[in-house]
Amino acid sequence: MGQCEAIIGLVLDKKSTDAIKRINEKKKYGNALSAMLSAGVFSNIFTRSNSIQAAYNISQTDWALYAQAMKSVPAITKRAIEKEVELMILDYQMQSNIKLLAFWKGIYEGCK
Amino acid sequence: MKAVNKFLLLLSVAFSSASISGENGDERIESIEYVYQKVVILAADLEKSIEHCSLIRRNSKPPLISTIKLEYLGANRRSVAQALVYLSNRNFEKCEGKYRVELAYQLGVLKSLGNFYEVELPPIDSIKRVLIYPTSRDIEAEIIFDKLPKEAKEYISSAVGGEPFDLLKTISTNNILEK
Repeated sequence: MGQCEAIIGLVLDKKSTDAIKRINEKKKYGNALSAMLSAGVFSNIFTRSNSIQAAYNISQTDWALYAQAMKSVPAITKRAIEKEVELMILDYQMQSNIKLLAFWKGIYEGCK
Repeated sequence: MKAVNKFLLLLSVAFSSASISGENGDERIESIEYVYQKVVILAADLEKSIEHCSLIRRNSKPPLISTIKLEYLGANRRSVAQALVYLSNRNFEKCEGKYRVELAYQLGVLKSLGNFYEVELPPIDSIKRVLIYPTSRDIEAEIIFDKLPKEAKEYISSAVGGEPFDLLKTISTNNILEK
């Protein structure tokens, strides 16, 4: 597993925040489907700050932990999340938003 | 499969906590467990199918697409990108086979039985909405594809073929979003 670059000062816009909520929902119901009771690392990245407007610093450790957590996510859930993330990447490519694009690419590629 | 067996156990506990007695109770358990077993098998089959299709996609070469030709045929770059989203989903689901649709159906049957017998079940509607059905964005992409000029649709469909392909690599390789 390779390493993604750390992202400093990532500010999530509404589109990304909404996408993250949808992805968390997919994980929640993925867990219901497979009876796995795991919160996962994904949500942990975004619970360190109480403010939605705060900038996030995502370290290489965060990426590694995320990739590890995603390994245990069932394929049905992973496929649903993957489709969501692909759309986010396309959207930010069209908007040329470099930090958000790097963030979603990191999520998609699992730091390969 | 271990995770699915745990779910079966949880479901059994949920059933045993309901007031089930006599012949009707046995029929209730038998009916729900019968359909539930179908759900378990279909979910496992869909899992394997998705993994298989993901492998095909990972090993595939991005199809070559001429944006110049598509623009000539009346399709702008953003529409082409959305058309590729639709075709990527279409090809992947075709690869998955019947399992997704059958799982959706059996989950619906399970819910219907649960309602009929007044047995509490997991959040089946949410599971289907979030994990099984296409999203609103998927449908929007399909509409954009459908509205493309006929020749553009035929060209791009032919270019990507029927197998799963990597959507983002295809867009990048063909410079779809670059002006």
